Parts: sequence; structure tokens; C-alpha cells
Amino acid sequence: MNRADARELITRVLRMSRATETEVTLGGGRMAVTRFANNAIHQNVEETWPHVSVRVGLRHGKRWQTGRASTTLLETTNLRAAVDNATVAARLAQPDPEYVPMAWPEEAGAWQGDVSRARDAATADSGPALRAHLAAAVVLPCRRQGLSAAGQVTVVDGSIGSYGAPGIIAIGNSRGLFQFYDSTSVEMSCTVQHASGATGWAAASSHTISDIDAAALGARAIAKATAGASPVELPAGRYTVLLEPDAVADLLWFLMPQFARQTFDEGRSVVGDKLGELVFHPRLSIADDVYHPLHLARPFDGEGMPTQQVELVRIGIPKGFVYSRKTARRHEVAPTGHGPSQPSGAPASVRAPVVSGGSGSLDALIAGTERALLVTRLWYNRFVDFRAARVTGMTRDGVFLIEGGRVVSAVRNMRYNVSVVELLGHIDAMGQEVRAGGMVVPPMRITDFELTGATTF
Amino acid sequence: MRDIAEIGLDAARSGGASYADVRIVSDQQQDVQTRNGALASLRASESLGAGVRVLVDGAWGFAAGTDLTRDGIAATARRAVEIGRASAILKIRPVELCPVEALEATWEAPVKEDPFAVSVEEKIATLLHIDAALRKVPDIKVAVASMTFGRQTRRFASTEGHWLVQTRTTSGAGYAATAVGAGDAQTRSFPNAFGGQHMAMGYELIRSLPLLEQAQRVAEEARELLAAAPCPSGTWDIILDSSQLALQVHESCGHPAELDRVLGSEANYAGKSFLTLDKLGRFVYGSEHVNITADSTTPAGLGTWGYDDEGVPASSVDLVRRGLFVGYLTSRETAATVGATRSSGAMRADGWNRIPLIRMNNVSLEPGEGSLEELIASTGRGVYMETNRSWSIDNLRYNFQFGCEAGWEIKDGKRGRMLKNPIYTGITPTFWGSCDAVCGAEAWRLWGLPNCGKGHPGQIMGTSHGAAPARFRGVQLLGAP
Repeated sequence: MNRADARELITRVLRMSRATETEVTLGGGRMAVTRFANNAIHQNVEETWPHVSVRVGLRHGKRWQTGRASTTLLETTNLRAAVDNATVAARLAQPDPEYVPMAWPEEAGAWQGDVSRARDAATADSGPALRAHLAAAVVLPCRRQGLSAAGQVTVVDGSIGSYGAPGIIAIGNSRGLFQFYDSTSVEMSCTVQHASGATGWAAASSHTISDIDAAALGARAIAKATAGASPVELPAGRYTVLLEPDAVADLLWFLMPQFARQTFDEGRSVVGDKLGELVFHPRLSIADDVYHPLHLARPFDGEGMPTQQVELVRIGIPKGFVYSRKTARRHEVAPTGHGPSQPSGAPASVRAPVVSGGSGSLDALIAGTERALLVTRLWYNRFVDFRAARVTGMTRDGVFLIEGGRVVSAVRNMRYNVSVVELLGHIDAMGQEVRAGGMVVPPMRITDFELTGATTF
Repeated sequence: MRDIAEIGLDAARSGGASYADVRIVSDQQQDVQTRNGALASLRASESLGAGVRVLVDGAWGFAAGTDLTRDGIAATARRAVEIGRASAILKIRPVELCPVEALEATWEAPVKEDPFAVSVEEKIATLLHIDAALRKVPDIKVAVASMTFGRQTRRFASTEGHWLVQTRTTSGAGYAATAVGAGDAQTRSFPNAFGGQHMAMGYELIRSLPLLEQAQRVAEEARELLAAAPCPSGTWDIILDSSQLALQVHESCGHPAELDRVLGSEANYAGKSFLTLDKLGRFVYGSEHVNITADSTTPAGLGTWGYDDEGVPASSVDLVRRGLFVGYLTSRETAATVGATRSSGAMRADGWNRIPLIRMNNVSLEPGEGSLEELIASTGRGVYMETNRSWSIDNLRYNFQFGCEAGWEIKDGKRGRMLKNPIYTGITPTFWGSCDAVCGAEAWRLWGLPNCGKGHPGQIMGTSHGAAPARFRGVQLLGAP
């Protein structure tokens, strides 16, 4: 859906509404996924659908009611039904004493950067043959070497999320605000299994399919799987770990809710309690920046407010929060453009974290490490304690012991239990940041990382 | 709709498909949520579309869209064929399906009170009453209450002659209160975490739950946890309530018994399974008290349908019998791969736009004997735990760690002081091997989990799990640091 089509559809739906104010959000698009396992393509799918979501606000004096309804059908009767359902829902809803009327275009203002390269025509036009070609770049070497490859290539033209969330392509409201974000994305990951059972994993993502070097990904996963045979079991304890960028991202996502103003207001942000104090290692600086060249993410939030660049941590000191319009009004500050679609009780969310790193590569970091465990990625990570950002999970697809600047053996997978806040006080070294796990993030060497037990492989 | 489905099948055949099925699925959803005295979310959604799955040159292809015109469904089918041809580029051997009888049937889950006919005002009023009762208790900083309702109609046609129309309604409700104080935050939920209880029922489910009646107790327990002693570390006997045990069954038995995981289909995402083919009928999964079934006929279960998404009739199969691992959840393809003559009927997709995967239906631990009180009375020293708070398990489903919202010390057969942050960990077969008692049928309860994720692209599926409280000897507890 291009900008003109989006504007036309939104205008058409807005005209159907008689509510005091109306907002129309468009999402969906096309998602195609090729999966392979046991060295063959076993699932190969494509879905195409639009999503239209309507929010209305009804005013009675100073009281506002609001409701939302959505449809995946674009016939006039379905669109009208969505408007009617949202209106009925609003009429039945309790008045919201903190309702924030929809934004005027002047309030929203302009974006702070350029995200036009988030869309690549060749990626949008790519089909199953190209995805199979990428899969083959991993599968064929594995067949030749007696290894087993599994993985996936995902291409999205639009905003469909992995779990079917429609996402947002465009928002318009009856006050004249209109925002449009045109993007493609591609993601590839692969897991290679050695006859010993050892596995290796690698992943890459971009807005552009030609950026994906499938053969290189396969080579990385093959090298890890091959090196992973005969792992040693280590006892539980505190270790120095060298976390690859994906593993760092796995952990840091659990820190991000701490930077929502609403979460702090509810007494559930231990970081928010210490704004302006040295909480993390001074090496750590984090910003939320949708315009970063490695992100180029949607530059507006669920209400169409432009997403600001927000400094979250500077040299170890928490600096600020992200705000929705509602929490911003409550605290008489400007919204940062991180709010959810309304009505919602959910807090604002960090969307495009950028963690400043060092200058060296992962290999250079390994070479400079006297003794540590190299961790490829973390798996089934879950909060144990939300407020303290205490998290548990497992290592997966490649853990290795580094001694004297080189990998000397494979290590069995282990369970970790850490406070992300505390561990970021133990950053010992960082490499150069890369795009990984939905973040821009460097590899990190961290001391005193608590591993609480091994599994059987 | 049948004519549309037939056009899709014809287009697939014409394109060269040796097998095809068409699923036309309509969805209706309503979600209501209150938070701290205000309506936080009120959403209605509808969806209608078709997915066409084909076997071409021995490989799978799938395409889905919302265009249900004659031309639209034919185009979707042709796209599925094109995708299947691309799959065949990396084929090793052709896909084979074990047989299933062609059926024409309709099926509908019983509903006493249509939840979509109950006014939104009544739902909001109920939730706000609960919200007020929760926040009446000091230190409660966050109160969230919600209801969710769904109705799905699945129409399934295949080139083997199926035409199945199934309709099911689901309802769910629950709430959570978070107390904040003394540098801590503690949450209690009712009747369960994950948005409460969810079942394939109408609004009668909501009316049957003592939601308002329990609100004050739940909020007071959240507050009490702030001052409670931390749960100790070390080796302890533990008793798990039925809702926590339901999740334990889900994660450590249900998922590893999915045959697609065992055969490697999920190796790159969710992982594989320790229940490898050589273990079937030989591996001691647990103690003699452990009997686990996968049953898609359980009344009101989220895994209950008349037929799965390959047209296989609902049935019940044993996964673990007297501690011995004896069965898998299967599809037509995986059953054929291991030489079985029929599928267990576990294939389900979460909508028209996604392919069916092997999913748990209602995977339940069978009851034993006695009440929870009797079980506690026969426990000298231990910890009783309720309601899941955190869950994590490795990619072969061996090493797990679960946290619960609340624990209570058991001393000399009596339930004593409350303990905060109870966490237990273990290795799956060792843990189930330590089970020495499961409470009886009167304590058994079916819990609906609405949020099981699997596959890539990911699918969210509702599953149900029945369990009665059970005791496990010598389990490792991890106290808070």
C-alpha cells in the first residue's frame, strides 16, 4: 500500500464516522517465510492481508468516552461496521478522566530524521525462489559435510509481526494528522547440528534482502556446531562471560521497561528510582533512536506522534524516560512518541535501542580475553522479578571456554539467573556495535555473571 | 463457502498439486480491560480469510489471503502451488501422509450464554467492581482486570473429500493486584496468571468464577508478600497447586511430546525434544503416579475440537502411562514418517493465515487420591507453591526453572508462614520421577492457557491442562539473592 492509497483509505473511513473525533490505523501487508530443517525446506508460506483499526472519541461536555474496533476486510460494509462497532464500544465505555484528545498535525510536528531507505523494492518483489536460494546456501554445504541445517528466511512488505500482530503502516485522524511509514524487512537465521548433537546458530536482518549473506551465516553456524562437539560441564558459579551481540540484546530487552515513565510511577522501576545516579558501568550509554541507520524504524507511535531520540543512559547514569501522550500530560512534559495505540493501559515502550560500543570486532575481543565463557545467544529468557529486572534463561547453540585469547573447548549449556541492572555494572570490555536481536548493540565482556546449573547437552 | 473452497481445490489440482486443503476461517474477538479504576482497553475485531495448503512435487506450499472471490481464492491456490514448487528445490524425499477417512460433518461446542450478547456495560461494571475491591487494600499500586471472548468458525475442505464446519466460543476472565512497598513489588493473580481462567464456554464461565468474592483476599496476599520471608534455597519437598502443575505439564511433557519437534522441524526456533524416537515405550519419564493424556474431547477445553485442521477426528491418546513414555502428539505427515497408521489429530492453526502445526490439545495429568489438606498433612517439611510467575526451559525440554507468586512453608504436616519469591528448578525426568503423590479427582481442575507460542511465523494457541495438586520429593529451590 503506497502513501496515496493509505491516505485515500483512511479518508474514506474517517468520512464514515460521526464521532467527535476518529482515528484510523492501517497495518498488515505481505509476509513470506521459508523454513528448512533436516537439510530440506519443510514449511513455505505466504500471507497477504490488510488491517484497518478505528478508534473513536465521543465528547459529552468535559467527559470523553473511547472505543476501538478492527477488521481485515476492506468492503464498505465491513469498514462501516468497524466504525459502528468502535462507536458502540465508546458509548458503552466508562468516561476516561485522563482522556487526551487526538493530536493536531501541528502538535505532532515533523520527524527528526530520514527513514526512506527502510523500503527496498527488490525485497518487496522477492519470491519463493530467492528464499529457497538463500536456504540452499546453508543447506548444501551442510549436506556435503554431514551436518544438519535448519533455519528460516522471512520477508515482510508492510508491518505484519511474527505472531500475527498487524503493526502500523499509516495513521490518520479527523484533526488532519497523517503519518505513513513504508518499509520492507528481511530476517534469516540458521541452526546447524553436528552428529555429536552440538549446535551452532547465526542470524542477520536488514531492510534489504541483498544485505543477507546466507553463505556467511551458514559458515558461522557450521563453525560453531563443529567446534561444539565434546563439551565439558562446568560447575555453577560466577563467571566472566563474553556475550555475543545477540546475547546482549536478549538480556537488554528486559531492562527497557524500566525506562517507561508509567512503570516508574507504578513503583516498578528500580532504575527510575536512581535517575541521575551512577547505576551502571560508565562504559554504558543507551539511546532510543529510530533514525539510526541500522534501525530506520517506524518514526511515529501508536497515536501518530513523531518518535523522538531519547537518551536513556549516559556513561552509566540513567537519564530519562519515554512517554506516551497520556503520561506526558500527567507530568506536563512533551511526549516522546513512544506510546501504544489507544485506548490502552500499557506503558510507553522503548522501540529502537542503540547501545554505544567500543571499537574492536568480536574476534579482537576474544583475542584480548584471558579467561571467559563465550556465549552465542540466550534462550527462553523470562523475568523472575520485574522490578529488579532479574531474569533467568538458558545458553543455547554454542558456549565455549576462552583461555589465553582463544577458544579451548566447548561447554555444556547452562542456566543463568542475573539482575540485568547489576550485571551492567560489571562491563569489562565492549566491541563495536552491530544490528542484532532488534537492537544496535555491541558484544560485551561481563564479570560475575551468575550461572546456576548445567543441562544435559 | 463450500463453492469457494472447491474453487481453491480445483485451482490447486490444475496447478499440479497432488494434495490440497482449504481452510476458510472467521474470527470474532472482544477484549475488555480495566486498570487502576479506569477502562484501559475495549476492542472488538473481526477477521475472515482463507489459507490453501498444497503438496506439489512432494513438497509443501501455503498461501493465504482475504480475497474470497472466485478469482481471489484461485489466485491464492496458484500462489501456494508456486511456493510448493520452490520448496521442492531442496526436497530430500517426498512428503507422505498417513490416511484419514474423508468426512462431511458439522461440530459446535456447547454454549449456554452467548458472551457477545452480554452488554459491554455489564462486563465493564464487573471489572470495575473487582478493581475497586483490589485497590481498597493498602499498597496496591496496580490493579488489572480483564475479560476476553472469541468465536471462531473453521471450514475445512480437502482434495480427499473433506467438508467440515466447526464453531467454537471461548471466554476468559481474571485479574492481578500488584503491591509495592519496602523496595519490592509483589503480584497475586486470580484465578490464574495469564489473564485468569479461559475455557471453551460462554459467559456462563464468567458467572461461575468467584471473581469479586476473592478480590480482597488476593489483594491482601499481594500486600502480605511484601513483608513475607524469602523462600529458602536448598533441597526441599514441594507441593504444587493445580494451576502451576498445569504449566509444568505443558512445558515439560506437552511440548517434548510434539513429534514435529522430535523430528527436528522446530530446531531453529523452539528447539527439539529429549523424547527421541528410541524412547517410545521404553523411557521412564516419571514415577508410577504420573499418567498424562492428550485429549481433544475434554469438555470445555481450549484444545477441544471435533476435528483437527487435517480433518482427523478428536481422540484421546496416552503420553505417559504409570511413568512410562508411550505416545506422541502427531500430524498425518509425522505419523507416516514414524510408520504409524493414523495421526493423533493434533494439527491446529491459530487462524486462516497460518499453517497447521502440531499443537497440544488438552494435555492433562490424571488425578490420584486424596485432598490437598491430606497431602500437606502427610508432608513433614516442605513448601507449597501457587500460581505461576515465571517459566523457562531449555530447547530440549530438560532443564527448567519455574517461579510462583506465593509459597507457604509446610512444617510437621501444617501449612505455615507465607514465603515470597519461591523458585524451583530441575531436570524433567528426574523431577517427574520424584512425584510421590497426586491429589484426587475432587481437586483436579482444567486450566486454560491462552498464550502458547510456537512456529515461525509464530502462532498463539490456546491449550488446556488438567491437574490436581501433587508432591515432588527432594526438589532444588533457588532462594532470592
